[in-house]
Order: sequence, then structure tokens, then C-alpha cells
Amino acid sequence: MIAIFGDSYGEEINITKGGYLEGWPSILGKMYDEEVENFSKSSTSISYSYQKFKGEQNLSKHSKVIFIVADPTRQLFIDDKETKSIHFQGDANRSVQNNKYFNIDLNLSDKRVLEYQENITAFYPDTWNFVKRAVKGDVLHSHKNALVLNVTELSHITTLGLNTPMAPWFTTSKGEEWNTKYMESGELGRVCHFSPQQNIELAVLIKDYFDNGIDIDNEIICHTDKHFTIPESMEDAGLKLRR
Amino acid sequence: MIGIFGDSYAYEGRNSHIHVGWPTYLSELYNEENQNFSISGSSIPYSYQLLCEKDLSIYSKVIFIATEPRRLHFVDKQTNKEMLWNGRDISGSIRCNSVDTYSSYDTSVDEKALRYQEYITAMYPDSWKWMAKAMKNDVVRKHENILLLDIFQLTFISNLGAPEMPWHLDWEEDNSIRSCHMTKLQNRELAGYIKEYFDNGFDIHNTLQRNTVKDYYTEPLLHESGFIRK
Repeated sequence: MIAIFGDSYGEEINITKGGYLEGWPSILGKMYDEEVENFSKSSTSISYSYQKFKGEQNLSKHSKVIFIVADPTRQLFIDDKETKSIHFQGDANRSVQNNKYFNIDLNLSDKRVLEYQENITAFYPDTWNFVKRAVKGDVLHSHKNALVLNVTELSHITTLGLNTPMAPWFTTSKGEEWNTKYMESGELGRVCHFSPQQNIELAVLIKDYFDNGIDIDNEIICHTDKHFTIPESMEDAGLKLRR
Repeated sequence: MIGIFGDSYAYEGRNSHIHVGWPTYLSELYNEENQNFSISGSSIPYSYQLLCEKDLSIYSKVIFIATEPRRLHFVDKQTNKEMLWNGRDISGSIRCNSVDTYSSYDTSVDEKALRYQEYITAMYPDSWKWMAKAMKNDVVRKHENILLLDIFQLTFISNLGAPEMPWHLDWEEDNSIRSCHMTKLQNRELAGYIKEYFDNGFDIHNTLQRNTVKDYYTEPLLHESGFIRK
């Protein structure tokens, strides 16, 4: 059985479609003819995934472990006494929506916590960088067959072709984020922030890591266009223009 | 050379304000110098980052004191600014940031950020335990001869002979008698057990439990313990 921990880069539930969509985790499971236990949840933090990872009693039942390291500025606020936790996704407004998605009711104090955290993140954005290193170190030592992928490197695949002649349909203005112009569509098969074809290609690359020990970080960052296909159209990418 | 990373439980002061404690005693026991990167009020992230930056191969032994998970180390690389949050309050954090010039960063205090963090900590006090756990798990694999001590263990020594809790409201520590929150004798005892740990695999963690600490460390009378009324 393959275990996967992470955020939306590992979750195969697509909100716009409202259900399961086959992404690289399921494709990888089929390639190995193994079941997949996927703990990934969209918009979650490193703390959330690490908590799930450490909470997994029998890690040895998994032949392979894949851990996606989310953006370190995301937080999971915890109060053990009240058995309450809330998610911070990077900014207060999105976090309020996000907690609704998790069925977490926020009171005024919670909203203030989210606003304050947004301010602190703006003042001191590099505070949490060390967490990536610590979690990666622990995950790799906790299982003999583990892979840690970072969302920063995975975003190279997501934005492949952006503002290049190879993808004239995929453009942004200066300073504009791609996802303010484009919307990911489950109906068009987009899941884990990749096109259907890119999900297959990522599964192939991950298999190559486990079977042959390739330097997958380097391959994703430095040779993205060698391993991943630039979609031919918006539809091929599974994207729509936001209205 | 012995490498030491941590907070006030390993901090012996600087320049003309040296309060000799277990780090120096340990160096004497081994006849080896130490490099002590500890700073009062600092956080696990602060010590962890330092540990990751250093060439640990120059150390024969490394000791890492893990402080409270709630303490944080704010960093903004673009403005070259950093600040410590002591996990409790604004005034204490301001004092921490003035203890020492501990880095090349600007450490001027940003009260607004501290106020925000104070609120978040009060509301969600257990938010940072998973990050602390990840760092501690990683630390013990960084060097073949490393000892990780938790301050929650070391407080059992500090509290021997101390006034009733919460003593910090009415009492303060006399640095001529106490260092690293322990009496001089307790510091010597701790250094001895750390040496035993490194030399013979002695179970030092067993000495640092609520029900065993009195068997290993001397409990002073209140007037000998180095606490003075504020």
C-alpha cells in the first residue's frame, strides 16, 4: 500500500466537479498494482500533513510514502484543551472560506487570529522556512522508501508553458498570478493542479524515483519540459478563463 | 570542541557578565573548548536554524536544548530583520530581543507583531508542537554524538529548592549563585551526568523526571538556592 500525505497537490477530490478524479496518486497505485491510502487535503499546512504522518500507527504497512510539503506560511492553529483547530491558508479571507469547507465554525476571535496571522506573515514571511527542512529530514528517516516533494517544485509543472511561445493561450500580465486569470476545471479533468497528461507523467517520474533512484527534485525543477507535456490548449490543460 | 545550542538553560552570559554553568564545567571535564550558541529567550527554530548552518563535523559532541515550542523566531530576509517571541508576553519578548546582538539581522522590536502573536498564542497555545517535534526528530540525526535535552526536563532541577510556583512573580534569580537556572552545584552535577551519557551511555533522561530528580541532583534550602525577593 502506498501512503500519500499533502495538500491539493495530492488530493484527488475536485471541488468544481464535486467528486473523485483520477490524478497521479491513483495512476501510481495502478502502475504498482497497489492500493493507495491518500491523506492529502486541499488548503492544508505542513503541520496538518505531518500530524497525519506521525499519527499513522503502522507506517511499515506502506511500501512507499510520499509527502508533499505545502507552503510553509500555512498554519494549523491548535488548542488541545478545547480540542479545536483552525486552518490558516495564507490570507485571512481565503482562510475563512477554507474553514467553512472543513465544516469549522469560526467565531470573531478566530477571525481575529487569522487576520493577525496574515499581518505577521506579511511582516516576517520567512519565519517558517525551517519547517520544510525539519519535516523533510524526519520523513525521509522515518520510512526506508519515502519521497518528499515540495509544492514550489511541483508548481513548475503547473505553470509549464506560461508566457512562452509554446503555450500562446496561457498568458498573464506583469505581476498577475496565473490563477487569478484561469480557473481549474474538474469537468475538463484537471486535478492536483495538473492536466490529465501531466498527472500521468508525474506518476511515471515518481515510479522512476522509487525504482531507479533518479534525482526527482532536479528533474522536476531543471528538466520540466523534458518530462512534462505543455498542454496544447486551455481545454487540454483543464483550465477555463475566470469571468 | 563541544557545540551547544539552546536557550537560557545553556546561556552563560557574554563579555563581562559571565555566569559559569554546566557548559563550562563540561568543557573542564573533557578539557575541550566549547562553542555555545545559546541565547536567553530564544526558540527551537532559532537554535535549529543555527545547527543546520554550522559545520557540525568540528564538534566531538553536540548538545541541543529544546525550549518551549511556543517560542518563535520571526524572520524577514528582504529587510534583514528578525525578532524573538518568548512564547508568553510582549514585555518579556522585548527583554529577550535586547539580551544580545545574536545575529547580523536588525533585531529592533516590532511591538505590533508581538501583540498579534500574544493573542494567537493565548487562543491557540498548542499550534507549534508539531513543528517542534519535527525539528527535534531531525536534530538527533544531525550528529553521531548528540544529546537532546528538553527544558521541561531541566525545570525539574531548577525547581529543586525554589520558592513556591509561580515564583517568578515575586522572586528573581541571583546570577552570582545561579546559572542556566540552576545552582552552581546542580550545574556541576548536570555536567557530570552529560559526560556519563557521552562516555558510557548513561540514561541521563531518567535523572530528569519529576520522581527521580531528587535522587540525582542536590536540593538546596531556600536561602541557599539563589532566589532573591524582587
